[in-house]
Amino acid sequence: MPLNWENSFLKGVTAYRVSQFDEALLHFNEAIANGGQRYNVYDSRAATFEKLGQVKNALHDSRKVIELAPTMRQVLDLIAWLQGYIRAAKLFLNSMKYDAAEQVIKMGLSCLPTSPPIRRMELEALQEKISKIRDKQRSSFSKLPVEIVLHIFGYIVETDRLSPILLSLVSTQWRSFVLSKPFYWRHLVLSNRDPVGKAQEWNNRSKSNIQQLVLRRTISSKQLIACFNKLGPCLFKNLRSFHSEIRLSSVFSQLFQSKIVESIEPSFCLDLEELRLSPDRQPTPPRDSDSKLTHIFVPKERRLHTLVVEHTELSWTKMISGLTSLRTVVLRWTNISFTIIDVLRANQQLVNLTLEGDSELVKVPNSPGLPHIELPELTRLELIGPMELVNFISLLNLPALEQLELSGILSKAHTIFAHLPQVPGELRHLHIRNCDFDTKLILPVISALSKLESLTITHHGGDINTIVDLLSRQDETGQLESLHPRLRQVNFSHSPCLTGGSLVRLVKSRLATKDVARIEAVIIDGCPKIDHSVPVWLKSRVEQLEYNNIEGMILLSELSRRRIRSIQKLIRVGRNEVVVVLRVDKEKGYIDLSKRRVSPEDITKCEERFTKSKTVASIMRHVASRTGGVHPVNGEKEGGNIEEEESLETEEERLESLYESIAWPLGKKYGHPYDAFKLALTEPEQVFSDLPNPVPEATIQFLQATIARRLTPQPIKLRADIELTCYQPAGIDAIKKALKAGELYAAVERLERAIEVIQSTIEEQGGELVVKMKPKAVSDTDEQDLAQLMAKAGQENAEVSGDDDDEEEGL
Amino acid sequence: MVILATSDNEQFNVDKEVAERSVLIKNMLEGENPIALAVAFVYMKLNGSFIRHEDVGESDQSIPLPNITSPVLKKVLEYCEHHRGEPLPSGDTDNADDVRKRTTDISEWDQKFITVDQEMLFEIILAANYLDIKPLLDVGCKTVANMIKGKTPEEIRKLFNIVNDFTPEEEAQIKKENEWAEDR
Repeated sequence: MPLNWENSFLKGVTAYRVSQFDEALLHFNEAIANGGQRYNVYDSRAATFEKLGQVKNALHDSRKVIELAPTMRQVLDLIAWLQGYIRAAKLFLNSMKYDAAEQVIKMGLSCLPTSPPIRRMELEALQEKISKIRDKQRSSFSKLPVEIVLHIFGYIVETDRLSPILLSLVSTQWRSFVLSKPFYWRHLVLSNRDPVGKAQEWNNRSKSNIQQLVLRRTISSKQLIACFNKLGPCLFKNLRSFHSEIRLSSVFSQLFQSKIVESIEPSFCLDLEELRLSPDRQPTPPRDSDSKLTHIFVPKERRLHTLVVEHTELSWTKMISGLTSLRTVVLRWTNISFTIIDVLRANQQLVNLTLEGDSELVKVPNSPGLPHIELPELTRLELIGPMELVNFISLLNLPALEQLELSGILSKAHTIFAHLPQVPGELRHLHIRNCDFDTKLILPVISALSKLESLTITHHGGDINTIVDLLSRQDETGQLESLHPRLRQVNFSHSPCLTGGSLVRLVKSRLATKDVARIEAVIIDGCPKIDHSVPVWLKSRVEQLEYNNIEGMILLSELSRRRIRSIQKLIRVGRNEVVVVLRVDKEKGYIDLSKRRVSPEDITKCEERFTKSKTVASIMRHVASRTGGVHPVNGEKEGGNIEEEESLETEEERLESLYESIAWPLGKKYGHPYDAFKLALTEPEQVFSDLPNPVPEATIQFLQATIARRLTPQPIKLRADIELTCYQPAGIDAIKKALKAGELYAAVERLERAIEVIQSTIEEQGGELVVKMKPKAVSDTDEQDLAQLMAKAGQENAEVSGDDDDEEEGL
Repeated sequence: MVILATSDNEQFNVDKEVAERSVLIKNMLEGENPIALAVAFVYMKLNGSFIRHEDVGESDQSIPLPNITSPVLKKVLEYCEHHRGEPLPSGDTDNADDVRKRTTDISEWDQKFITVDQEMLFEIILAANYLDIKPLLDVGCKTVANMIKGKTPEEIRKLFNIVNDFTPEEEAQIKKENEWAEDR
């Protein structure tokens, strides 16, 4: 029946003409099935699909049309065939896939012989339409006048130092906008990523007006010298802010030898406002000092307002003497050849002072009767290190002091208050970390600080409870003596004596009293006398509670790569999130986190590891709470069931030792202790036999029992279809017998063997067995699910580069 | 009352106080700014409704806004209505010190107000620019800035339908610059 498809085809065409598209589709399908794989049939079906709104199918058929180029190059054929291109282009156009549409049109035009102008015109018309739509779409941004675009860019550049680079990479037009503003390029950060090229480029772009220079610690001194050569002496003339994470001494001595710095006046950083020298701390300070620096950073106009010098030797005298406008001074472990007193005297508008080092730093010349130093604007004073402060502190008059931080002061810290010329009545934040002081002597000081808002006392070995009790002291009538009505935050971490009772009293007394601020944040890391019930009690009463947990912060910009419609959708308090740690500031205890930089695969992996670890942790904790841990003395006494009082260690310590001797070695060997525990369900000897440290038998037994209880896998349904036939006499009995023989093997991997037995038994009887479906678990195992999920996530990760189309349309 | 006429020939009756959030309209009504007046006259002439100088301040003639369509003007007037009575920013604030204080914070109401589709957002910015309503212009620009912030160039292109029109050679240079962006 050679022409059978033609009949169907014609029927289909007829149906199409009267708009019976469903019927037409049936006929066309029939035609294609019966040998009508011609371009015109496909084209008709494509048209039908189009009418039915099935764009994908229509496109598919259009592609077929294009593939099935007609063999007879007759004009009419060609015209019909080219319809495929046009249809495909239109379809793409309608579904807003302009690139694809354009490509199809180009292909169509290239196939087109010159003779029939009809199709060409159609194609060209389509092309024009596309470019018009494109123009309209593109115009949304480009119709903004330049000054507005620059206004917008100004906002971005102000808040994001990297943005000029990123903006200049968008398009040639944007690039020209961004490059037209030298002002945008005034921040230069040099690292080991082609610093010389970058310096040159930035110098050009900023029209030699670099105002902020940052040297990352990755840059080598050779690279840096090359950079300075490129930037030229002009650099220092305009520089407002200079921040170096590397040691500059050798660099500058070389610069002085080379001609570049010779030609310069000794004091040429005229506009410098901010100087930060913070190289890595070295165990031994370098022998040569950065004396050359002194020449360079002498701001004649005295504009320098921020001076940060860390772990750097400077010969100061010359430099410091000229400075009178300092507002922020941070000195950490620097060798200095001046007295800090002189600096303070010359800079009375100092706001922020941080001194870290030993007594050398705060040495006061030994002449009696020195006048007091008035620092009327100093609000924050931080003193760190083993310093002898008494002489120094007794000279300071700090009427505006709001925040006082003392860390690691070895000399008796309470004497500081005794020697301050006046009690700092404005003090709002008092932080005493790791200092030695007499609790009794500090009590009157604290009770005098009526504006106190936050109080930190950490690593205090003395009786901290008296301080806590002071904060919640009641008078005879039981009313709170609200000495500190504004107190909101307390941190008593690492206090061995702190008890839960006084802490609870503190929070409670303030909840009950009017006109007194509630305690909003309580931080009690590493306080052994606080038992578990206290944090639970506190949790519902204070907003921020930290105990052995440290809170990190997800920066707003690190939340998502996509536009954020609702923060609540992304993160919610109390939800566990997989995040990446960006930075850790150990001193301040800050952790910066990012959710944006976690890929979906990592999330799945992480969550899997978390669940596994959580299971392991709960097993281990259970074991630790019920047995004597790894120490045989306790473990064997009562067969692994010890009262807590008898144990010398705390539960935490036992838990840790259990981890050390069991979980971590197993984890090393089996990838994760969870996997080892799973294996231990079936083969405990193999798993537990080769632990590095001996573990008491009772603990192992209890562990095994716990594992058995916690990890017994969910029952899995297995299924195999078989067909059993026996046409012999007494066939039914034979089948029964065979099945009974198989029944014995109702187990996981044994189903197959069961079938084998059924087969052999029935075959003995002359019957036959056909396996219709091999034994197979009905529900897939977790692992398979996981693997699929991962594959999917990986794919998504590859596809999604940013916002997807749907999201954009909402903008 | 002031009557404003949009490009699609719709008329809006607006309180003088509200309309004067626009420095352009304010100047026109006060007849202070000869250039603005001249511009207005030209537009009116184009509009076929020529009026004499004395008439500008009178309410019986409408002020033509040939660059603005009625949906956009409606939105702009919504803004002016909400912020009526607030002091107008003093004219010259664009000095270097001000730049430092620039933040991308937007007040809650403004944020809600400016939550519109991209097309409308750009229309509002253009209208604010034309009518010289500085605070509205700032809100619009900040919104666009916030949209751009933190995005990669590719994401920005997608966001605004911008075609990557760099040549392959430029593309190579760009790759290098992208490395500079990672400056740790």
